[in-house]
Amino acid sequence: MNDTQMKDEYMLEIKNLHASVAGKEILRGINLTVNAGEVHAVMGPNGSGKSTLAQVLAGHPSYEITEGEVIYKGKNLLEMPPEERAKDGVFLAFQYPVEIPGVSNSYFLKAGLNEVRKYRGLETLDALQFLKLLKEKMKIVEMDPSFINRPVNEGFSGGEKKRNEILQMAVLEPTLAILDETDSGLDIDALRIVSEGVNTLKRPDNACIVVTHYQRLLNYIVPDFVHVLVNGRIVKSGGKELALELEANGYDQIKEAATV
Amino acid sequence: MAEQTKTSEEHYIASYHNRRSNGGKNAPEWLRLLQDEAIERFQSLGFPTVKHEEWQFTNIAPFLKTALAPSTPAAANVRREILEEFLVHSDAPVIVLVDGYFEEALSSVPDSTGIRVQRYDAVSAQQPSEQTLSALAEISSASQKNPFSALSLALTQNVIMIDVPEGAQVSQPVHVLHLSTQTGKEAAMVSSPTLLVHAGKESSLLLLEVFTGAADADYGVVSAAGVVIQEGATVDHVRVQREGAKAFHFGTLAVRQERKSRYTAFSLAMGGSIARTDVTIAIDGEDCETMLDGLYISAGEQLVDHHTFIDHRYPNCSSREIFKGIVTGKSRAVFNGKIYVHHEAQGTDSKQTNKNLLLSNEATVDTKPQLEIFADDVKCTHGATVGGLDPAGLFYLKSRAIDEEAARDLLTLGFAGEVTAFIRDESIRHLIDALIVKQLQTMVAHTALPEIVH
Repeated sequence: MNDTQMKDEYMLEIKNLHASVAGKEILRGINLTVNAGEVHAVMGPNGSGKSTLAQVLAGHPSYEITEGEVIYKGKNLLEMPPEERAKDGVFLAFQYPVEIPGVSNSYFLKAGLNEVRKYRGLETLDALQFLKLLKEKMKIVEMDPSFINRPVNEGFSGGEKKRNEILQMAVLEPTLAILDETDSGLDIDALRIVSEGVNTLKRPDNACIVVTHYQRLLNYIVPDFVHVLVNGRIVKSGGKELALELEANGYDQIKEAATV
Repeated sequence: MAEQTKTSEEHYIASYHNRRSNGGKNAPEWLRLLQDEAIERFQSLGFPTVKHEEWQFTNIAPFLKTALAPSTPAAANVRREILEEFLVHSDAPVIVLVDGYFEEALSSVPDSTGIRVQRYDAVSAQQPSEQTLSALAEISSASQKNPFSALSLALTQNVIMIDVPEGAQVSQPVHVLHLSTQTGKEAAMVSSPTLLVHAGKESSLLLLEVFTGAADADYGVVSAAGVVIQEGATVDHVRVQREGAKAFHFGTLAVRQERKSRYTAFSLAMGGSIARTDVTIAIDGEDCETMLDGLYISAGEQLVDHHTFIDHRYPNCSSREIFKGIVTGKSRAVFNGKIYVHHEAQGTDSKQTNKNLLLSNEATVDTKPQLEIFADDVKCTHGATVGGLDPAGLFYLKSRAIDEEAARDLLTLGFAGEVTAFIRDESIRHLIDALIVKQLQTMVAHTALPEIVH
């Protein structure tokens, strides 16, 4: 098996990724591979670089990549602008979804979906076709139809914003979904709804990276792999039992081990 | 500079007297007396310079250099199609003024509309009604300080009066279209239409007022509107200023609200090379509600200026003012919003916001919110912002597969849509949204600009 074939087999391959913001290095050599059908959890204490990793994969312009590479479906992901990544199936569920005043949720989603469909060589949907699809998808996250015409995220509660993120994921049907602390600020009901939504969307040909601080979410979204991020590096990887271990012992032990 | 100003004033005063001595085209005697007073006021006020506090950001030198002649009735017939763009529906009641002259052939206000329309000019020399005089008094009052209000009254060709009888509910939007047709080849002209509105007790009126003209013509519009809203009455007033790119527009809007009345205004300003609107709202009774909103769009070397003044004289009234601006190219936008709360006006609830979207490094915004409060039991807030498109919003849209250009357009339209959402009448809101999209399309030259969705 030569190198090229190897690359094609992975959906995502992160190699020695270093990233900085405003001159401060946050990611300091991340290595991670993700295959289709897998769910990876990235855990770690506050400030370990979890959200940075998520944002860098989505193409946030504030981060500077200083070293390493990210291969997605055989392409150099870091060279693609954020909209190109999204069209090609990368989706980031934001930790802090952005309010877009004056733009309705449905218009926003229709615009995004049609771009993705064009990219995939599918016909774009008209307003009626889209509305039908949107109503179906809204059932997955138990969202009230009144959210269709409200401005994107404006005046939404924390839980409603997170549900709206999963709704967008359901509409755009990404290949690689990255959930950035989707569980933060959710009560137990919202957590269940959001997780069930994510599980419903799971398919053999897509993958998911779940970034979280707490093990709680992983009771609902069961990962195949758990990675512990400390100080911008993955210091430990394992199966789902690693999350339970962290829950019991906290991050301190691992932090100490990492600094040795 | 000073000499220039003087010459220019003398030019307009001479124009006035020329017309005055040329008997046939004159207004009725009572109006002429008012106009004589107005030209005297104009003479004593003189044109403003940037040394006047109210004009410090608005240099009118290009206007002063262009000696405009009072307009004459248009020679050619105006095709109705020109107006259709501004009609909410094709059989809406419509009053058309072409170059400041009432155009009977294009106007139509069926009796079923529920309003009385009166005109005062050389053709129809009737005596003024009490309602007419009370609405005119508002313009007179504005002209005490504003030379353009005085000039407008002095030079007006036509006074159009919309009289809404007591208790009448006018649900059809009444259109007043001011069209300037003078093309660039002829002498540059100025028209000075005067619109009066009197809403009787417990009546309601929906009014759409539009100023427009030929894109390539040098012309001026020095207009004035006086509005009186009696007890318990409601007036919804949407104004569109889409003059031609080379035009000068100086507009006065003077409103007086009696107790328990409601006035909601939306102003869309996007035309003209220099466009200035002065709005005065006198709250003249308890329990009034005022909403004064607007959007201005400027590009190229345009100067768009709004000066508003809400005068809270009575207790327990509320006012909300939201003006937004999309400012690009080398243009300049000026917003000066003054809210004055008198000692007597206890319980006033007033909110003012001015937000500007600055889309170019060479554009300028001067914003000056002014709150003067002399009562102690009031709730008043004001604020102004100037900034570019939200980078977090841009990234969010791009992360959902929307291209950079489309994301910028969407945020810009969203910025506009947030304020047009206040237009209560749906058909007028659609019309305004469409005009905004069209304007932005010519400015940013994106062919696939989406629509505004509420």
